[in-house]
Amino acid sequence: MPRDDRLAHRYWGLLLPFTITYMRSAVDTEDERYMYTLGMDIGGTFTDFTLVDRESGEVTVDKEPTTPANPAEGALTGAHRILDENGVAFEDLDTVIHGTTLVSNTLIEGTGATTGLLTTAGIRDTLELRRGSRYDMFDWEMEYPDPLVPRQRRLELNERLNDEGEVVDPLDREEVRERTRTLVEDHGVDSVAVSLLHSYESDEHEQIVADVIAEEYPDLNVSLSSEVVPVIREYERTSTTVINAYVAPVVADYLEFLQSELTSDGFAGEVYMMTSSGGIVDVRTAKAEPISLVESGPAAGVLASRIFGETHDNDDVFSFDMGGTTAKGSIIEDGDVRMKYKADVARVHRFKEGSGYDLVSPLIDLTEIGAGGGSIASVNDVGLIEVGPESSGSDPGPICYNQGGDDPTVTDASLLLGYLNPENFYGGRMDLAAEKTESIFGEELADPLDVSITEAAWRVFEVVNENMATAFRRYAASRGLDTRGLSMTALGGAGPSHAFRVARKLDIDEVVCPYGAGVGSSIGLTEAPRMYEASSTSQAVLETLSADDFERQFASLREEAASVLERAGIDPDETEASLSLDMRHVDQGHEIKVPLEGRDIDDVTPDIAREAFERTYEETFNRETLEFPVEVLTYRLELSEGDRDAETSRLVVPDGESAAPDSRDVYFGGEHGSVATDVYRWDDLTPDESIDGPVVVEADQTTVVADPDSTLTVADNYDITIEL
Amino acid sequence: MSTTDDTDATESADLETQVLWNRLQATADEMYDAAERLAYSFSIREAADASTAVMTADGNAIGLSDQSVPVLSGALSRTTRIILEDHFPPETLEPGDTIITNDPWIGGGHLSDVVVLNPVFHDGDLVGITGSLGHTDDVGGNRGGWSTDAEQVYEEGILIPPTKLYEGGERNDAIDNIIRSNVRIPHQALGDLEALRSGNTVGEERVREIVDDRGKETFDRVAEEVIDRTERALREELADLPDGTYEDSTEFTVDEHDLTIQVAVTIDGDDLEVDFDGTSSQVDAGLNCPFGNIVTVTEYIVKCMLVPDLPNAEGFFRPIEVTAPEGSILNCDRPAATMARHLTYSHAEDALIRALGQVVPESALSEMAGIQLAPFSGADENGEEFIAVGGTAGGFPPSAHNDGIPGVYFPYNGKNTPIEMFERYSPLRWEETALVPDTEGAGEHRSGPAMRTSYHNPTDGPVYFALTSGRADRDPSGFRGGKSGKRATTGSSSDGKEVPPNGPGVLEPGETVTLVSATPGGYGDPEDRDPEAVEADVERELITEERAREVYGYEPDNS
Repeated sequence: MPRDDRLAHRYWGLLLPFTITYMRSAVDTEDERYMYTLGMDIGGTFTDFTLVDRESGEVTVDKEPTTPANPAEGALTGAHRILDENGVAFEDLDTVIHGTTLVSNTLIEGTGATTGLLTTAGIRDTLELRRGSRYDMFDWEMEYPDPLVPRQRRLELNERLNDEGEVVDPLDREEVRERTRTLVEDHGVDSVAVSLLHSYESDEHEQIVADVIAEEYPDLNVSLSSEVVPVIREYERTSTTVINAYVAPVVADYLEFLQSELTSDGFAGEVYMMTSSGGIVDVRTAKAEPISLVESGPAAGVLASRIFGETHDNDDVFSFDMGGTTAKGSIIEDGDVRMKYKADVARVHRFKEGSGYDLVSPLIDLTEIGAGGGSIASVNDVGLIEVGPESSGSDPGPICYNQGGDDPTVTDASLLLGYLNPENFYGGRMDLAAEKTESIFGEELADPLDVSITEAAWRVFEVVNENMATAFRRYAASRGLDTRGLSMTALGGAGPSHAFRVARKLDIDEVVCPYGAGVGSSIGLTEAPRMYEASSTSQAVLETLSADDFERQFASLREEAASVLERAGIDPDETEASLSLDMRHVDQGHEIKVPLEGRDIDDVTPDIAREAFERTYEETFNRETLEFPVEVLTYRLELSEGDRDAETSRLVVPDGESAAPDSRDVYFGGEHGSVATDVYRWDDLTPDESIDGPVVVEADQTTVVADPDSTLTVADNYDITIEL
Repeated sequence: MSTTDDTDATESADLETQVLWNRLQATADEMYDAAERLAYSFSIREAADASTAVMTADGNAIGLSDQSVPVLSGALSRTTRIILEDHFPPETLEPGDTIITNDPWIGGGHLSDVVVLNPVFHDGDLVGITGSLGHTDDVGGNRGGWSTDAEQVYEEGILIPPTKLYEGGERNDAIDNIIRSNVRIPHQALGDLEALRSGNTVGEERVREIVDDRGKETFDRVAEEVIDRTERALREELADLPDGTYEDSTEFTVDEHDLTIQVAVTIDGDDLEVDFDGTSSQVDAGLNCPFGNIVTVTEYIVKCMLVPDLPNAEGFFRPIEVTAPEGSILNCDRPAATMARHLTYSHAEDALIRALGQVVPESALSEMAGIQLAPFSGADENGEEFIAVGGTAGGFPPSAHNDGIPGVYFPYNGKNTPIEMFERYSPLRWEETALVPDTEGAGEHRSGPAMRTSYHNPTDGPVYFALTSGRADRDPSGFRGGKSGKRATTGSSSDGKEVPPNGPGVLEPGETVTLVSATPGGYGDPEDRDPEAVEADVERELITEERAREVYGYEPDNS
């Protein structure tokens, strides 16, 4: 690109209200193609973008309303804009890293493939019978979602393996053929889940089923339990495999559409997906195992918080990410993101844990609740305000967007409280309809409650904040953690305006709103160290293992992970492996994850494993291990490209010119009431400046609010810290 | 639900209460998780038959795990108070102690339910007690786990009175040896005790952290407030209900025992009396409930029907006074046998639901189907003893709001055993887990269909089982016009062999035994059922078209 063009783009970048100010050092490498990475995170309401110039390390961000009917459309519109505005051609782009709520939305909305299940004779109802327990023993209105595969599409095969994986009753290929035909011809299935008893131990029969189906219907999607999640316990494995089969065709169509559109725009690089565990996979893996994408977007937000925490020397961070539809919370301890291996999605009963579809998959341990800017407020039977979990999303959106929404939402409340600027919202791309919002708030909320419109708005704001705080407290408490003393990182369009109240409720006294907070999770996509976790199950008593056994297991996992990362353009020699084992005493019901800190694949011995088990046991259960034998069940290896130097890529910040603030009345409830408040543009702040609250700071993608009892400081890189 | 008009001062005290209450509740859940993960018995590690509690130093529950089994949920604090009063007063406790007992009259009501308590000390002061209770499958005695056939408790296994398994952190090897010598699979029984103790040590650490963080005064203040608030909440609810006495009774038969349960529920202002006067005398079979059981199941049903959303804690038990005649099946004397007492107390729960249902009909359910429990034991090919638990669940009954849910345990809240785990830890083959069409309790809201499971013995030796089948004597009745469900049945693949639904049996080599659960009654008239729902049931092969026509007036659209 000629130098003049680059300058021109810089100039345009300053003028265009849509992107954070763009700037690039004048590197003269005319003949070389610039290499760029684009992060795209599709949320329920907005899609966020991050463009990284890997030559200079500069990062630019933007956002675009999500298009629920075909989320790829909004993603492509936004991708075009951010590239155009930065003078980058699709040819200059070599990597797209993508986060999406597609999988969870498909489950919530029930828009997956017509799916069939082939399973062992006698157990087709396992999927429907679940585990027989009640997730809330006091709630007699509990419900479960209808199984993703109804009974008539669950067919049985006369075969049996035993618990060693040996064939007891052989599989009949003809029967497989007939059953598959029934599923396809009579029931019109587009996708088949295969889950046979004991196939965590041997995939022999499942592979035959896959072969026969491929002969008969080569285009039919097939998900095998032995590939998707080879773990013992047939309900959990079957449920996970069924979810995978249900979403796989949708994900495949989506990714193929996105890729072909990108290709026709000139893109010749690779698309990678962020997984629920914060790892990345290429499109091929994502299509085969979409189960790993269930929390694709939310995971990126936690990774972003970790990066921002590092920038501020905070190892213990509460990641708070609030968008239009949901709010996510997660605790980062000693710089480590927490993991879990089970979840349930698309909850049908009051969003209670356990009321959704069960799955087993590695996920970042975060809590997500239906509380966002679009969450709808109403007055309930007992005369109290309720907020969410229903959301107006991006279509029709809050009342104030003036796009047909007529339910009061949290964003509307923020407008009425003075937190949002009706004339300069979303970088001026949208004028907010204040009068209409007031009149509906009056009718729907203020009048029934007999309070002022402002008070009604405050109650909406407070109830949603309390809902989030309660969910976050429970999340922290159930993991034995405490939110006090943590530093909160506030991300998402709504995060920085709610953080001051949520933090106070959690006894947190510091909130960091990073520059670019409004699109924080897409920053996590491009900037987090890329990693992949591989695992394998092989049960054995510790005494029977040797150092060679450990090395063989871990070496093969390393190979698997390295090949995934290599396809993501990462040099395997530049990666770091961290190892862990799932262990327990022989005959105990469940295992514990035992990290092998500082160990390489070739120096794990049974003694080292035992010591690590004893240490973890003691830390976890506050007691010594038993004098009973110990066994290993699962080997895990996380391969990561290693922490990037925080300085190598950074958001482009303004040129340091300050401007005087505006002022407007802002409502803070309680003793403060309505207060005349200074309102700054984020880009007009002065680095190292300290401002006493109340203060409002506006950016294109978000608004920061600090109450009268707080102090706001601006860092060199324009990150804002609120001391509460 | 949050309110918005608190001043900052009370907000911060309320916030502190709320935060610490959440932590206490979460501590109980964390304890539960630890105990379940580390346990050896199927009943705890797969079936979740356990409960955990954080208690004050005088044995009042301030955090109870939500995952607990109902009958065990309230049991821990009651047990703890008995032990503090009669066995180990506070001055006899020291850091590192662990007290165990499985005395049915003190703990969970039968020998398999083992109570484990740890005192929590902070700077030398006793600040609380953590407790875990779990069903250990092997307590010696006759083969089984929930057998009906013993006449006295002595036949049912080893009984350990409240005893220190650990004293000041040192394990009491004598107790260890006594247990080892009385059970078939020592490492399983002892492993369960250690798992439950691990739940407690996790809880101990958390309670100490809270006291460290906030000080003992705050901890005590919050504990008191948790108890006061739960008590107040139930009292307020009771005060709103019409005063009066509401009665119900039920008759049932297990083996040759014809039994009656009568209940009279009296609401008097903000007090609730539940009296089981008129209930049958205790019998020479494992069907008797020690009094503690009927107290805890009553508390459970009352909570579900009146204040289901309230976090569970001691105060909530205080407005409820339960009485049952001494020497009855709901308040049996030593040395009555009690192993299968769930067959009895589940009928008391039904009677109670109907009695309270006269006051809060929208919270009532149709008659429950109970559960079938099938512990199998014997020696495998290598001569190693095993115990593996199978069974069925009759499902959650339908209500004014919803259809019933098949395969769910109710009122017990356990989990089914995965076939893959069952086969890994026993030589048996679990053949089938299936829904049985046309077995639902029909109604506007129907119950789920029955659950059928079957077990095959491929070995050369006999395998022993001890069955209990809820509702095998008659079909559970419908409610408000709903039709009755189906009774539980049992069968064998051997010609002419009858398998009694309750009691011990032998699974011979090559034989398969099949269990079919009962189903709850329907709720409301089946003719009022949404035709689309009927059609969906037909399409899903849960109800045949023929039955749909007969019972629901289904007329398929032929277009």
